[in-house]
Amino acid sequence: MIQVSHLCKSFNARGKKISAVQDVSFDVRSGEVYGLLGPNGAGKTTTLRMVMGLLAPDSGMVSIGEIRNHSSNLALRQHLSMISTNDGVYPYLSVREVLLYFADLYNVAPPVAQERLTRFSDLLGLGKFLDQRCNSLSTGQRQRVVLARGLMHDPPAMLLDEPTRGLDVVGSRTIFQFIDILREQGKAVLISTHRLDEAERLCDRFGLLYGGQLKLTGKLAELRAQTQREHLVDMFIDLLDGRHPNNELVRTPEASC
Amino acid sequence: MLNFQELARFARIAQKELRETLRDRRTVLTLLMMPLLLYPMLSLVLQRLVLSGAGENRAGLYRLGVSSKELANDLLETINASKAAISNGPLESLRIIRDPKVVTKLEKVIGNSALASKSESVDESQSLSANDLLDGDVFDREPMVEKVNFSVLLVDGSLTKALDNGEIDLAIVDSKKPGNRSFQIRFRDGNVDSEAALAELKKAFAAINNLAISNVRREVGLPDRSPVEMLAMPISSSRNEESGLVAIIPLILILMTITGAVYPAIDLTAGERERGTLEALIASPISRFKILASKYIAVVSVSVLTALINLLAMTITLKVTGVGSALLGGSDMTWLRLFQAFPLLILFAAFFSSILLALCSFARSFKEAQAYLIPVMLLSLGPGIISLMPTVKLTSNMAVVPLVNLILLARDTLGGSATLTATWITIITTTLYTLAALMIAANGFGRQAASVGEDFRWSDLIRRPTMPSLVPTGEHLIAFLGMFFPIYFVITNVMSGSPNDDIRWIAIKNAIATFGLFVILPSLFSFYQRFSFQETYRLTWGRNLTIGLISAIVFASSLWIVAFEILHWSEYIGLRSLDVSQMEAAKELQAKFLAMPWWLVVVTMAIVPAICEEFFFRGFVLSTLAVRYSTWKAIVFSAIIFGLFHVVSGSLLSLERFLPTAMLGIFLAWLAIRTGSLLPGIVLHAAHNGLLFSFPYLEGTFRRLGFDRIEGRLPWTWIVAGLATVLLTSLVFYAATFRRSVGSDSIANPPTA
Repeated sequence: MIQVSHLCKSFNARGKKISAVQDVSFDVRSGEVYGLLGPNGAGKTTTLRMVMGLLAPDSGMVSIGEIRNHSSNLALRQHLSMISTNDGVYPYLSVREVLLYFADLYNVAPPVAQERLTRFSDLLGLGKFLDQRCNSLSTGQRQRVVLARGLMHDPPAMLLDEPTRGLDVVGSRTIFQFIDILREQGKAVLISTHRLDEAERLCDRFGLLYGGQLKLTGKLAELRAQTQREHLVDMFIDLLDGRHPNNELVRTPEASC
Repeated sequence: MLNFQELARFARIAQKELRETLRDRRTVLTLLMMPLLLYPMLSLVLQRLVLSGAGENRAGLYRLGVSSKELANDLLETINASKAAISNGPLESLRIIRDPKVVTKLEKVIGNSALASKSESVDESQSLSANDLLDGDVFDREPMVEKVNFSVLLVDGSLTKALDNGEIDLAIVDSKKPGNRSFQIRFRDGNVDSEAALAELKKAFAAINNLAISNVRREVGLPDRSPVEMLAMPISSSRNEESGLVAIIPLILILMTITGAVYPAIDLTAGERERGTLEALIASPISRFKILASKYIAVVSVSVLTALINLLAMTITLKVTGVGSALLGGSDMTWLRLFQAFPLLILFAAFFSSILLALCSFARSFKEAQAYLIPVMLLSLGPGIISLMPTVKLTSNMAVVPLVNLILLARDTLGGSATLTATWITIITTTLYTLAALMIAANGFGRQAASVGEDFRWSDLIRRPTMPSLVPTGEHLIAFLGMFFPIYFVITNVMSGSPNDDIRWIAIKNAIATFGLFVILPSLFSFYQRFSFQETYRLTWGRNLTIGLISAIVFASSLWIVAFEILHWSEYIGLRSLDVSQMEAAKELQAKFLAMPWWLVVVTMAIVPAICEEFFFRGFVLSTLAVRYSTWKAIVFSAIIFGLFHVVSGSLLSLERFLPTAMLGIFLAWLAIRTGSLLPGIVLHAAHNGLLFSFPYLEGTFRRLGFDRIEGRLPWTWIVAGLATVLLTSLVFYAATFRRSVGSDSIANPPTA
């Protein structure tokens, strides 16, 4: 569903050119949860933003289903949804108003939007505070509003940027349940996170991002076979220390960037 | 452009923005609390300013201080005698009349009596009635001349001290001269009230003396008239010495309108980022311009609402405290003008909201937004203060200066002296600036959402694109027009030159200016933005060139008749803005043209403008519009822009030129689209202009043919023939180019890179 090939992006920061993402390629199938893992500053968010179309890549291509990034940016967004920890809600609008607003932004016909509103409020338990202003909601309730917001246009692919950061056990469980729902609905889910323990439980496949490059990719079993390590955390520590059983993976040539 | 569902969706999106701001307590605070607190406070300050500033505002009451009761009685008696002297005595030697309504009435009477005396047949009854009218009004008829009241105060202690403290306006001391009543009067030098009181008292005493003299003259048998009479009347209807204070009103309203817009502008842009909603918003498949437009609607609404509440609060405060009648002169006309200025306030709100949004869109936080806005708000005080100076006039050049034009126009509207030209120029330029600012806002709003980790530079906005593109986009067009129109306006104004210049020189200068404006400027812009010149300006032989050229010539032979009729018709429906003196000037100019050789007129007035204007309007403008809109919409929109540019010529505003020019623009655009080349349009344009400018030279021929001057209406046979030719040529041209229209469309709508 989501296809990313040879993405490159560099930034100009204080006159210096910093390469944030170098030649990153992966794909996420429908009904699959893909974990884009890496420490802070590895290029996870930048990659997600490029997939989302918020950031134009220097080179490379993103396509969602049949739609390529280059041909039509707005059409691509119709098939995507991005949810991140920093996401807020409009404090002076009611939950219903927020959700219907986003339905309008995504050009969802009003009757369809109403129907989805009912469905998701059941699914995520928003019924009790549907007409409350968002500034009166608790953190957990707010989080569920954000999740519902991401589903209003029923996108085939979802991007979750650090979805559990700053959440307690209850909040994290909501997210896990949410991701399960998405998987059941057959959506392609791309998660970026640095919580490797969570990722191990959640994701079907992984891409380990470090220094802007994908160092390791595959299912957990494949990774274990490649690295001789049991857990993702250990694999990462190896990466950080610069030693790795599979040396050619570490020394990825400075690809087409 | 938009269908109903789209519109309803956009309305809902805008509604969300409005809801969000109006539910915010801070918005409501500036909206309601500020005016409630501000105006009572302001009226206190104004009261002091107004009442201490001008003596006449105390309803003409002057306080005369005396130290003894006898002198007080003496003084009162004299003043009463003066009243009688003024109503029964001869014409005062000097009189100032302030009410404009009276001025017009008196003008007539004075004119009559002057005529009568000149022709030596003195119509006594008429000139006497004139005198009666003037005399009687001095004290009795209040609106005609200010009413003056003296109150005599008995002062204990030092008169000088009381005068110094401002308790009295004049101190009167008995000078004890024998033989007549004699008063020694002390006044405060430089004090407005005291000097005004002195002048009034002088007038009153003079009336007694005049009466006495006129009695003596009558006894001696001399005519009962003063040798010299003088009547002073102000020429402007508004009170000039107060217009400075009147300008305070728009200034305050404008400040309040800004205040109303500032918070929503920050909240709806930088606020989105702080709330963490910006990313989700930007990630949605709606154009940033639409998001910005919805926010803009909310900001303008709040701003206009603030303006309205302020206007109401101000009106009520001014009425209740009475400061208003002192400022505005109390007549209902001026109160009406206050509300006439309200549409201007809306325009101002629309303009300023776009500027605020443009700035806030680049801010990452509230703090940053405030840092951007404070200098702008302070800067905007500058024009406000300029408008306090009555000497600064809203000239045509001033009317393109943003902000200054609006404030000056508001001032002039309040003063009742706004001109139509300045109003239109102000509205047009302000609208363009607003659109340009919105474009910038939409550009910036997206940028700062995505540019995490990247330094945003303001220079990015004007950075030269690295990739060439075929034709400009709508954003480019609006940005270019926003920059271009003021330049165009100022240059055409400067180029119109003084009437004493050599006409040949003026014509050549105009041609050069046309070339610079319509060819050089767009070319530079296109070069900088890396547009394809061939695509943008249709610099090809195109297809259907032969039929295009033939049609162009036939059109040129007949379209002027249609244009002429449309011109008549638009004048008939009231689309006329030239006044008589401007028409005279135009005629004079036309007469001067005849002094030029015919070929020079054709080159400078027909060929050069045709090439240059085609380059710009059928090149740059039409190509841009054709990318965005369907062919017919593009043709019509380009024709409207073409027409609007011709409405503004120099400092003249000729509304009647709009429809004929736009009509011509439709045909020119159609030719350009159908042939894909600029050439047929140039031929039509040049031939059309050339024909019109050649008519004066052909007058002799016309007369020989049996026609009188083509001044009134054309013969109906001509009109029918002209219309038929236009129609027939259109059909033939349409049919001839029809088969290949698919090809021409692909050129009209080239794929964007």
